Amino acid sequence: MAQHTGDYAIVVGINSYSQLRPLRAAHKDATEFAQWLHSPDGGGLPVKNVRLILSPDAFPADPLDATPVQKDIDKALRDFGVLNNRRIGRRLYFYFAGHGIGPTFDDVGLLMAPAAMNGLKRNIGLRPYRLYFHDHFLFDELVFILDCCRDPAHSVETAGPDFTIAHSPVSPVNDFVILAAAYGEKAFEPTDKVTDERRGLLTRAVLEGLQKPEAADSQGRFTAYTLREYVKKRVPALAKDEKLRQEPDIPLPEKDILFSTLPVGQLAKVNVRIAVTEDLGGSLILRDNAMQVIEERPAVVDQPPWNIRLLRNRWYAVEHTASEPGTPPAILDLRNVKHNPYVFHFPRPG
Amino acid sequence: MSSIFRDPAEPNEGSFHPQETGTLRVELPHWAAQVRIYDNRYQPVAGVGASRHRNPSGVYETATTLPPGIYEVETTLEGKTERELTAVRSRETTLIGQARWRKLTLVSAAPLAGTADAQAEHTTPAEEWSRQTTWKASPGGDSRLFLFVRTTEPARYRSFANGLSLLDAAGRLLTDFSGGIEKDAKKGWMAFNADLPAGFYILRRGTRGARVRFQPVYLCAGWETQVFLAARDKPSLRTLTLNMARRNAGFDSGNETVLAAEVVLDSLRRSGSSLEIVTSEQMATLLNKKPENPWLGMLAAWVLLAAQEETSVERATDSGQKVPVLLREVRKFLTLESNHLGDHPDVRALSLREEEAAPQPFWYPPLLRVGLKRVHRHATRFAETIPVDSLTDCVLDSLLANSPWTAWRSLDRPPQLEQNDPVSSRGRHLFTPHKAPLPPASAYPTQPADFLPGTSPKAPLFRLTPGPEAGASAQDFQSDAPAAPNPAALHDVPLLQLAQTLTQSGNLHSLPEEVILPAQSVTKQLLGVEPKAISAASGLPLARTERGLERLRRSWEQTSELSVGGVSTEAVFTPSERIILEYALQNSGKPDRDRPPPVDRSPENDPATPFETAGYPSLTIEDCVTRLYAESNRLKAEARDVYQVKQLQNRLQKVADNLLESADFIVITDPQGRIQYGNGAFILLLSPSGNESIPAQEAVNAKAHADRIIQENLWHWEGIFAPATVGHRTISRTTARLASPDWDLWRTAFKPESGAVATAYFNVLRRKDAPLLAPGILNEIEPLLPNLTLFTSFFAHAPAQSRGEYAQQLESLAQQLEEIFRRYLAEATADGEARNN
Repeated sequence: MAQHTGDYAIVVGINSYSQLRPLRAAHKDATEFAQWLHSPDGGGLPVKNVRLILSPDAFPADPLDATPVQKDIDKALRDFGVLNNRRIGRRLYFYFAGHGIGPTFDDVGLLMAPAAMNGLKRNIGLRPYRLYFHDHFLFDELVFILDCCRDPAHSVETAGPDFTIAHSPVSPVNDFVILAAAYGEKAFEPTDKVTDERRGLLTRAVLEGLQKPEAADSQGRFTAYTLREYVKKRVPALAKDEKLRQEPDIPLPEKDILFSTLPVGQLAKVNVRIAVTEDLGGSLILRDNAMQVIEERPAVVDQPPWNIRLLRNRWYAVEHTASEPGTPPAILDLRNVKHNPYVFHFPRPG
Repeated sequence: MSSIFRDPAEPNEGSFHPQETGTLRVELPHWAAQVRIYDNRYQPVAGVGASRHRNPSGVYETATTLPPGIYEVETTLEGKTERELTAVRSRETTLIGQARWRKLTLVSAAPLAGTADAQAEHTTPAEEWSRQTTWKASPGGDSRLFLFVRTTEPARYRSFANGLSLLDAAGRLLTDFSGGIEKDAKKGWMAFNADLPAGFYILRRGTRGARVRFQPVYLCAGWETQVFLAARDKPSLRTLTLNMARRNAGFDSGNETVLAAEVVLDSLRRSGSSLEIVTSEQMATLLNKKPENPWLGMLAAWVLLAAQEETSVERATDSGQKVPVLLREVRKFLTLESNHLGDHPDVRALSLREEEAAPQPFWYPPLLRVGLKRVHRHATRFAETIPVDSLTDCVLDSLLANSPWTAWRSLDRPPQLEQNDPVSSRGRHLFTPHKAPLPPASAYPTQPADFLPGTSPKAPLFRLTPGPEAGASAQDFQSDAPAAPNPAALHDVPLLQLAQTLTQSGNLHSLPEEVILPAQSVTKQLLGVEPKAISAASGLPLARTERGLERLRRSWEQTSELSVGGVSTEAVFTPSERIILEYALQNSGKPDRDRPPPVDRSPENDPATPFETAGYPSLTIEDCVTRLYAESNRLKAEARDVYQVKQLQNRLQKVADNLLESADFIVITDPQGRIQYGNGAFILLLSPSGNESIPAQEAVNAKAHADRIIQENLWHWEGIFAPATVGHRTISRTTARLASPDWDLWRTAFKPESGAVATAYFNVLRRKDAPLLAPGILNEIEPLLPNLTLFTSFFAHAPAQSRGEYAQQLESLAQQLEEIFRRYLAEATADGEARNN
């Protein structure tokens, strides 16, 4: 059941460029993101609030007639009511998978279907659209996810919305921008080894970061901050597996945005064995991320195994009571551990 | 089975007493480093790093009071980031030492203390030779240039300093650094120091294996400019670092202002924002030492100016609030007469005001690209800002964009010097190309390539005339080549403008038999366009636009308007002027529907639901048909062998076909019946049907196939429109040929004021059985289309087992579409019968 009737989304996927190299994964990526938006466990948007805009699988006779173009995106915004020039809803998601360029460090030109190497002006710009929404306060929150390259194209201007409506008084709009690559760099869509399908690395990481229990925070919430944290690490890792290099650019949002929450029972946990490697005297104290005591055991080798199930996304500290005053505790960070059970040796090597 | 791993009863997060806090001290790799601290929900802790101070060991650090807990500290310097997890305990202090940030180092072409590759072997000679003249034969002057080139791998790169030369403002060689230098090839450095007259100079790098590059340097009276270049096998102008100091002050490797300038320059190099750095306390202290290094002031001013012009995104931040005050201070210092910095092109660029003419023209460009951009923008409003053919004007067309500096490789025309410049008309300058200039690959939008037909109105360039003698054909508009404006097409503009107006009027079937064309001339049209509007749209400096219009005016006056079609565009128009033409074309042919309607804000007109579109025109029939075909094809491509899907696909196509049949087909022909223009519905009529549309993956062959079909259909229609010759008379047989049960035809002849013979025919065709209700149908279909796309795509990408749900949704949508059509058709039939009775 849809939960968030005040949330809207424009999802654009362009595989077929009439004058540029075709892409393979943009349709699938856009569709899967739209499915997450529509899913009651995901974005929880009603169908009528999601506009999925894809390039047709067939080319028109005239390459300049290829779609989608800016008009299609602006039409979707008009359908949502931007011309009314008043608050439309809580949140707008804007997702794009296709070719892109980077005119400046804070702008991305999203290339529309008729774009060509000598026709890069057929784009829409992150910056002008973002500023437009900031200036008009149509939504409280903006989420931009742009899975495209940011090849430098310094002289190309990016297009803003074609609406000329009066500015509203500026109210604070919280926005969250996820860009697939750093300024001037490329984004990739390699073949997934498991499914044998091409997938955009960013979209794959974003969808994981919005759904996988290990990507949630210690309270099971998928938020802008958890997504940023997950995607920033996951995209380079996925790229490395493919012998590629891609680092997403995700500026820190001013305020957090809650996407969804996992039921408590679904929080990711790791089986941990805390193993004392030498008799140290005193005891070891396991503390949670607020330094509250979870458990204390003698710091000696011949004890029964200290086995414990800990939340993957909560940081822990292991403190030795007999260590010199001021000695920092060892930090137990389970986010990236691959083994389960994971053995945490104390004292830490090195 | 029970697990040996126990779930602990974890305490609730954040259950600490507010008074119990600890302190986290973070030592920084440099004061310009940015620090963030995250809690376990990855939320940044507010207020971290705002205040930083030097500790007794001379290291900058931040101290933050935090509730007990585990935190992640993230430190960033020059785009590099490192992270560290640490615990903060109640009433204790935790320290992360500077040594933790091993990878966070500054890099500079200058051998500055604290940078990654500074070495005494370079620092000492740089400091020494910045205080002694190396070029004894220098012309002398009230300013000084110190150039230091260095490599960290001298054994590997023996010719590290080769290929550099210094040119004057006219591009004449002053020195190629073969003499008048100090050099230690073993240690990898070269120094040059000379007194020179204040003014504009150019560094040129050109050596075997490296492309020529020019980069300007400006010397101010009473100041010395220190230029540092890092080198490998050749000096790199891209990584140039610059510093200014009082004349004879020399280079000081420990000078913090130089390092600060380097940090800001690096952010410009990476096109990042350094507002936080520029507005920090440390920078304020350094900026207060302005006389030491005005270059730091210039860099800071650019960052502040950018922030000030930034819109609401940055407005609310603490840094944002400091901007106007700081900027005012820095500008005041830079323009103070006694400082002699006012002539510096970057200072002049900083002083430009949006609505005021520049006090002096920019014969030479600012050193920083951000400055040139500002001057360029100003020049689109004020013709005097950039004189035509000045070096600034020429550089605009050839600017390199791979560094923060203004730089170029070659110019497409020789620049003219300032009239009073003593060096003008002396000697041959080095940046003139030897061959006749072709427009270079430009970083600025001055190429016709940026104005492909897609950005101009389609009609003038959509010329469908077939046959070998007939100029542009269907194949022409597939070309990637830039479409140079065709002057002949200009003659069509008034006609097409009229056609587009008629098309939108919705009153196509009651046009008069004849329309007398207004004698609106192209020249008048072009000259009627405001030059400032052209400059604003094209980015051309206003002076160039004005000159272009003047040339156009003269050209047309000489050749007479009617013969423009016979004049070669290459001969008459420069690339800039072609842009002007394109702009005029775009504006004169722009359909009114692209202009958003005024929004009625009265409460009774304020729609209750956000989906009402305040009277904005809905989709056209062409858009709607294309969307239906597209979704039908998507189903076909994804599920060829599924019977149910094939049925759905056919049903969607049928709806699209029916809708297309209700359209008006508009065709403009010349007197010979050759088609000059077809509206979207007509193009769809010519194109392969939805069934035959071309899969993207077979684009090459399929495209040829589609073109052939279009061409054949086109010839068929031109056969219908062609007149017949009977004896000495030519008669139109179009009406007779279309007098079939299938079509209605409305035809209007366009005649010029001066003649009785029609120059074109405007034809509106409509199928006789088409329901005349297309707008109503469209209004009902339109809201269904987004759902159709959504579920078609969900279906196409869903695993086989979960396709059923989406197939049901699609089935329901197909039913709704068919029902809409049935209903309108029934109403139309009933109306027809009522009228007949």
